[in-house]
Amino acid sequence: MPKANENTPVTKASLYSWVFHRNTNLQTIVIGIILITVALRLVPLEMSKRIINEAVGMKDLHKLFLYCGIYLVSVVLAGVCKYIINLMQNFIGERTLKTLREKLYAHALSLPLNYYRKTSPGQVISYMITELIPVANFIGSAVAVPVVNLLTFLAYFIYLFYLNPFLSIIAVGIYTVEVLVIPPIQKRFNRANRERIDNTQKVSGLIGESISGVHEVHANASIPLERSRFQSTLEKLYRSTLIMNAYKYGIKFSNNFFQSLGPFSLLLIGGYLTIKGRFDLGALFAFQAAYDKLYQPWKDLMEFWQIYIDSSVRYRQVMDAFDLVPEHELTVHDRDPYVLDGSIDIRNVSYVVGNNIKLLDNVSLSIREGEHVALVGFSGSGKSTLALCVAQLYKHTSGNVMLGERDVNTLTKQDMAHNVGMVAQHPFIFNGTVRENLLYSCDALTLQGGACAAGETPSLDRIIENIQQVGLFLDVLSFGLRFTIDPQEHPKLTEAIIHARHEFRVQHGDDLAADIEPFSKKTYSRYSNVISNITAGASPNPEYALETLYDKDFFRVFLDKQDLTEPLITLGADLTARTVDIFNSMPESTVDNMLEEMLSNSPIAQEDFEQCKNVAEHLDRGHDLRENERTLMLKLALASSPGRHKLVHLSNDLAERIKSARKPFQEMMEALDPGSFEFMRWRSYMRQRSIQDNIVFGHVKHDSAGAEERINQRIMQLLIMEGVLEQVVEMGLEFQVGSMGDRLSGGQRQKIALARVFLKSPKIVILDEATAALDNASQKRVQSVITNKWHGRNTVIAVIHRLDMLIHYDKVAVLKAGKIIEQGTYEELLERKGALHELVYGK
Amino acid sequence: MNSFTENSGQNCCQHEAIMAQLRAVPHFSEIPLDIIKVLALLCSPMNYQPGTVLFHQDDGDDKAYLIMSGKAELTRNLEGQTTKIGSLGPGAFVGALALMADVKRLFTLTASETTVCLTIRRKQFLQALEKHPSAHVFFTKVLTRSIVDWEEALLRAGTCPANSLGSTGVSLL
Repeated sequence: MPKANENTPVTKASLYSWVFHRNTNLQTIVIGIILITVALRLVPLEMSKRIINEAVGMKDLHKLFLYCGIYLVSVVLAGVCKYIINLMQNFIGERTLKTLREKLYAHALSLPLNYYRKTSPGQVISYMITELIPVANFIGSAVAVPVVNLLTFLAYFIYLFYLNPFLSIIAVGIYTVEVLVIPPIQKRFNRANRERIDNTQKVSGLIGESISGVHEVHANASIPLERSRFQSTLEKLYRSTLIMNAYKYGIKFSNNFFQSLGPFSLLLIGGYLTIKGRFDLGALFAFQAAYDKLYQPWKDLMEFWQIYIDSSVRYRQVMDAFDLVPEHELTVHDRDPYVLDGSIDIRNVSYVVGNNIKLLDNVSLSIREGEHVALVGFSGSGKSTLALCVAQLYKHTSGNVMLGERDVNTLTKQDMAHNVGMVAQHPFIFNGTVRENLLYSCDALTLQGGACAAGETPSLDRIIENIQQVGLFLDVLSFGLRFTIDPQEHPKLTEAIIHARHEFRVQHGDDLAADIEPFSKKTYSRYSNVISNITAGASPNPEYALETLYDKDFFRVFLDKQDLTEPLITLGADLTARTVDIFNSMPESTVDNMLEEMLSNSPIAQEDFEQCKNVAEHLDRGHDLRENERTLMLKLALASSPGRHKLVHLSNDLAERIKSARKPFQEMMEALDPGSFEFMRWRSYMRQRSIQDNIVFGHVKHDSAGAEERINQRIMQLLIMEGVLEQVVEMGLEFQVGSMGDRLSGGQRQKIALARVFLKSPKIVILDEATAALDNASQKRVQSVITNKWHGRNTVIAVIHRLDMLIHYDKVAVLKAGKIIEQGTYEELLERKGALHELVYGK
Repeated sequence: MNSFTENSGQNCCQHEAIMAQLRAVPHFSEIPLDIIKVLALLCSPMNYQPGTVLFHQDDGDDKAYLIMSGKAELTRNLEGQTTKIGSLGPGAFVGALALMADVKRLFTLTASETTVCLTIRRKQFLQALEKHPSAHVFFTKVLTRSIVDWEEALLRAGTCPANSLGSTGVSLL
């Protein structure tokens, strides 16, 4: 890679610098092939002239075949060359696009946080993805297209001149007039195009923003507001696109006009000359053909010009959008990353934003290596801001923050990765597994030549130790317990689970009786749905998937035989009527907002809700249900479980009848497809069910407070005895946390962020209300780990809102309106009866 | 299985039983029935075994609690000393301030018998009341009045020495 390109920021590079960036050799080869192509293109013209004059005119068959042969070969060769040129063009374009995106992405991520207050994710996405594509196409064609067309144009012109200088000058004259007419229209087109791009940006930004904030939109019922905002932006896009296209077609019109003017003058003058005998017929024919061919390169050149203008506009816009210098260098140059000693000296630091708003006002604080300091104050006092300035996330406007004698402003991100760790108030969890998220900080450090305290790739033992410290162990275990396993693949684990099932029943059957509804042949399970109560088992064959049986003929016949069809349809209809009744009493907009949440307590799927509304109306009017409606009602009835769905009214009588269908169902399946169904048996593993279900052999009652935790505690003990705890926890580490960790609770997200920094154990730790989402007991435990693990060794700055944690800190700094108004030990400050005393005990 | 769920299984569904309990709470007396229906669908009754904690002193909370059956004991811990404040039975509605904003629990509530308690989350409460500002205003009114009444009772009991601004006068806040 050329050195110059390495040092100039990506946003400053010119469009043409990419054309030759790493592509010089390829572009030279392209030009070589182009020269051959252009030469090949002239051959057919000369051949056609000779065919008419020498072969046809002289009636020479031999020459006719020869010239036609040469004609054919040259056309095929020219085509092959063109194909190669296209391939190379595409290769250059795509490769450059890849480089461009890589560099721009790295640059965009390094931009200061402030930048992203003004730029939405949607905008960044659109810049990186859609806007760059035409630019890349241009870069690929930037050499090939103009060279090939200019040369072709020139070659044809020379050939025309050789045929008849006078006519050739007229022909080119027409093109020259065109050159004078078209550019002014082109200019206007460009302006309109720029406006359109801007408006497209705005529209996509708006979409991106409302989609990312859709919960907020729903929470505020602001769909009409968002719609009107969207409408006005869309209106602008619509107008600018119309105007742009008007210019575009204007250009096309002028092109076409001049294009037809050519043959006209040619026929007039050429015809005159031929009649007068000053021009031969073959030459006129060749001239006409060449003139026609002149048009293609000309048109291509014009198009290229347009693409060039369009691309440079887009390119400039994309680059300008990111044209900001990162506040800190990413990597160290000509040295190893610093190893800082852990002392922090904050000297007269101020952070002023906007119109002289002082978020921090002349703050000084000195912290020794290994000292633990708490920042407290009311919200808005600047305590988080100060912590973020130390963490290099904000750039203070005056004063110095010295980390181990070095100014934080001079440190690179790589230095920070080696020495500092941080837990944010609302940590961000990335889509992926629990393990990937736990190792996020370590992986980042390893990639930059460092190693975590827990090792370069921390072992399972170290990960388990750390998730225990933050109190995440039981959560991870419960994720693991949700996995289903194939008994054939894990014979030992399966055996251990079956054994644990027995032990669980023997040891905890009684004390957990209120938390569990055991699977039993004798009773109806209110926490299971109707279909599970009938089948009392499951099948690995998707043909017999429980949630699809309602629509299977053999099952419908079975229900008819058991006289269950009508009562179940009535059950579904009753549920539908009740549910729709509640929604009908709500205003329309509220229904849209709350549909998902309200239906989470119901067997009705969101997509079926509209049809349910129709059914309810039919029932209301006393109509009979149609066949498809009856099927839907059956589907709902089979999916409902009174223990979970509040609106389901299942009488004990019906429950008994459903239960007595179990045996006939089993007999039917054994006859229909023996072995396809695995019925629940105390001695066998249920492979369709989770590990937890297999151990508990019953339903965990979700409405029994703390049931899940109590049960998982007991399961943990049993798994230790069986020697398979680690295996299940390891599965739990592979749990997918969902987009932005939405399958985790707020507490779990924060625990993961804490475990990240525990694993890394950097010299300087910054905690921004890092335990705020945890309950009291977890906060205390995490705080004691922080003190035991790091006190005297790793420096800690913690923004604290729970004042009873302050006794664990060596020093407390109280902030108010951006100033430190008190600092000292907890006891000193309380004795002084100043601000801290007021915070702790009130006025 | 507790008696509550079983009974409701007989008569009708759980939903109607929850509605009946919600309507008996004075704070909700002005809320239209349609909204009570929605609220009853959104919040779930939980069963608490004796000794299980409903909420812990010093924990942050965003829920109100309506005891539907059973009995729970309210305690406060101060420097290791646990003081029993009293018992709550069916119909008791506690912690309603959490429906206005996050609060720190100043007491611990522990089930002393098998207890069924309806927990109402602030988010769900606000969602259900979104289109009914008048119901919301009434709820705030009941809440405010109960704070003032409580303070007045304290003052009447003579807990207001001279120059005690800062330690008394909640309604002045």
